[in-house]
Amino acid sequence: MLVVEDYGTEFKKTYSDSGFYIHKIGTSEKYVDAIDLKTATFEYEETDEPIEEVEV
Amino acid sequence: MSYINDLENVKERLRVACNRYLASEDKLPVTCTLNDIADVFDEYDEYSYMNAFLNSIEVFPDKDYSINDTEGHIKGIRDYAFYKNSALKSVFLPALENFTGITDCDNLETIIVKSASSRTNTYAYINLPKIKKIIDVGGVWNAQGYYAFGNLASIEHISIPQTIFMARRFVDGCPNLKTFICYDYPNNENVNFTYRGACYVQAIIILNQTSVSTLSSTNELLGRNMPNAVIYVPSALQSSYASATNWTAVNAARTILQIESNINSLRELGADFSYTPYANKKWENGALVTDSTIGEEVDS
Repeated sequence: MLVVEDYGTEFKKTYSDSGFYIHKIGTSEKYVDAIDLKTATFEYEETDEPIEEVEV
Repeated sequence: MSYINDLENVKERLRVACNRYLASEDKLPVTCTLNDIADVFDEYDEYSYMNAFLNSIEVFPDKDYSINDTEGHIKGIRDYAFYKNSALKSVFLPALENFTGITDCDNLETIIVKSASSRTNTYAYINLPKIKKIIDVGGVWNAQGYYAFGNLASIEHISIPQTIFMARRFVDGCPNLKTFICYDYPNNENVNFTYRGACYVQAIIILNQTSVSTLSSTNELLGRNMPNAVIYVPSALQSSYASATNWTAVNAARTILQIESNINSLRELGADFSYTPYANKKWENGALVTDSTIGEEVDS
């Protein structure tokens, strides 16, 4: 499911709580998480592509 | 009959001579024909068989076998062409069409390669302990392998061409990096620069003049392991970056600056703008002007 939460006072953060990339609608851009100005009108959707686990 | 014997002797001499310049797996057998030998020389313009040349360090240990192909004769080099070659101090190969990488050269300090074709490098540049600068320009890089720039303890400056894909840990183990010039930001989550620890890169310079690079996550750029990184973009896109997804947060934290008005200080830092739209340009009286005394290579 797509989650949108405040990121500081100026920004909002969008991500998938299921560990999938998200896609910015109307573009070919995909994100792990997307931080935008709160005033931005970008819309996102969850993809079915899982985010690869980062080896550390 | 004597003529046939002479011809056979000449063929054998040619075969032996030819084999001096071939990698071991390509050497011609005794049973080869004159046509086989002719084929090798026909292909010479396309692929250079340099193993035997370059490992001559064992014969002439004090000679510098640096390569400076200013006339662009060398179109390709084989895998491991320079492997374990300690004679090389610099490599300038501006006309490559086929190229996989340069690895394991103890004394190599500078690499400038310009390749026109796509690549699928794995470990393109790895284990070059003295390398200070790599300018890899031209073509479109399809870096499917990890560690494209791996374990380069002394590297200070990297320039890369346009990329359509970068595998993880693209720039790994390069703690002393000062400048990184790219067409678009290497967009691969958070394991580009800091997988093996902090990277003190000071300037990440993004050249794409027409569109903002997609930044899939801010984890790395806003993380603690890249404390000094400042982003530089073309002035025409500076305001777009300031409002673009994820870049807007990066801009708030560490400011995204324009290349043009900072080009003089970037060059003082060691950034080499050869083969970029900024070659031989400097900032003077509020404008970019050409100064050929800078001596950077202009993309043709």
